[in-house]
Amino acid sequence: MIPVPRPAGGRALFWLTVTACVFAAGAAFAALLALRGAQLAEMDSRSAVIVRVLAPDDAAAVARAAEIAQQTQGVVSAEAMSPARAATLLRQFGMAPPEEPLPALRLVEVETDGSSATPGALADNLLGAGLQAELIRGPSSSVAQRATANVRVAAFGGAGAALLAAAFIVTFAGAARGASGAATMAQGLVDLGATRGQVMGVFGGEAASAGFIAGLTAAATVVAGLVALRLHGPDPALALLIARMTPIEYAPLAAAPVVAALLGGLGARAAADAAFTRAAVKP
Amino acid sequence: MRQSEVNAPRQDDAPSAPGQARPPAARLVMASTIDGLLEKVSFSVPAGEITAVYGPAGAGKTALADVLRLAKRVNAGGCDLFGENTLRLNANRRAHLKRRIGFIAQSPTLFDHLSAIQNVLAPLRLIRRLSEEDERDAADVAQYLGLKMRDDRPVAFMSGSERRRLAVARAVAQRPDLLIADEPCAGLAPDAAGRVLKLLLQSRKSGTAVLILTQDEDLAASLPGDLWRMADGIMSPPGHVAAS
Repeated sequence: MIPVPRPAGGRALFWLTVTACVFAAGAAFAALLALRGAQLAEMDSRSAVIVRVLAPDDAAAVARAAEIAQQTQGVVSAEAMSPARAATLLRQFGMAPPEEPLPALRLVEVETDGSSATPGALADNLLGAGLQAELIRGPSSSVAQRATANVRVAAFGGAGAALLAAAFIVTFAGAARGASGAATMAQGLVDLGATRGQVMGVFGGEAASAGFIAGLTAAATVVAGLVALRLHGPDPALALLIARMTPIEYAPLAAAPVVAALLGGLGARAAADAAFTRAAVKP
Repeated sequence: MRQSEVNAPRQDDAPSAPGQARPPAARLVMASTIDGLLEKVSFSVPAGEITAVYGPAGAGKTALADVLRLAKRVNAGGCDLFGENTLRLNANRRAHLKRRIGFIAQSPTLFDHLSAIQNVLAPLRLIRRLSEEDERDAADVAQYLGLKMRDDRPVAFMSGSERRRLAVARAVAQRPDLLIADEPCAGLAPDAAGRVLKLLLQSRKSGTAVLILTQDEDLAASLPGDLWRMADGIMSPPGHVAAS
């Protein structure tokens, strides 16, 4: 087929497409990471229970409560919370522990298998042993579950909006690419007897190639970013999440070149279609 | 210059036997355009012959060329090309008929980003995969017209005279059934103009209907075939100049 001229502002349009693809692939990837993180948090909230011993008010009651918890069906581990462990948890939640040593706590940190029956059984066993206790944080509280559900919706909503915006950008960049060349070349092609399909093919093909290369560049950029985050990222948990991504979760990156090529080509074909109509017949 | 190779007659449009009437390649019957540049024009371009239209600037010659090369519609009357009524063509058929028409414009539309040889071969590329013969023929025609075909520079760097000769080479190398030349010798040196005319005359021998539009009365009178006069969008009946 006849080569098209280099479009005016072609380099800018190329980098605009790369930026949009990075934006879209990054958003999709971030949504997947958020989903994975939310799933882990939800699992964690389901399996974590804190028991606060109310009476009797002594260290022996706390040790007894931990022992009963360990014997309860569905409990994976149970341990009285030491002041050092409490200080660690405070730091994890972004709070600074007091400088003076923490007093002895009447808390038992329990990890269950996630079954909804386990907390009830634990409460019954504690009561049966003459211990007054409350389950401070457990699966009966739906706040954590609602939060993770909200994170999921926000992640996918945000990623969807980003993908849609990027799709428009890539399509219009393709259209601009096509329109720029078509303005000067379509008339010549039409005069020589090019069909509408040929004119659209000439510009669509060029823009699709440019879109594919831009998509590849974008995918490589995002991969480089992920590698950098994994190796030098500020949060080890994020590095762990990235390391745990499965091949299917890399699909947005693999799709970026193909989708960019399709959208860019479609945009350019639309522009060439309009140019063909203008050039075909004068009144 | 291997003219016999460049313009060898095609099997499907070989010249008919002497005395046998050829169907016109193009025919207008009382045709008018909406802008009034053509007014009830009846006119035909026989296959395998030269037809000249002489008229001053603004007479409607370019409008006539645009109608015949399917770039402009007639709003009244009829227009036939190669036996097909052009008023009933769909876009695809219109495009396919255009491929049988070579056009040499006063201001040719070239692909400025391509080289000379790529421009000459562009019409053929739209139709088929190029053969070595296509490329050789195109190079022969262009070389005959004094163009450097090995030059890979984009034609945007060519002079006006080179661009006009390139447009002639492109139209002739296409081996069209109808060749329309709008002021083909304007702006060319006498030697180049002579070569262009020679190519056009040669084309008719392979069955091509050649239509030359000019405001050069001497040139028009020197051409063999029908000579029509045109003024204010109206055609006068033709005189005939004996074939030389």
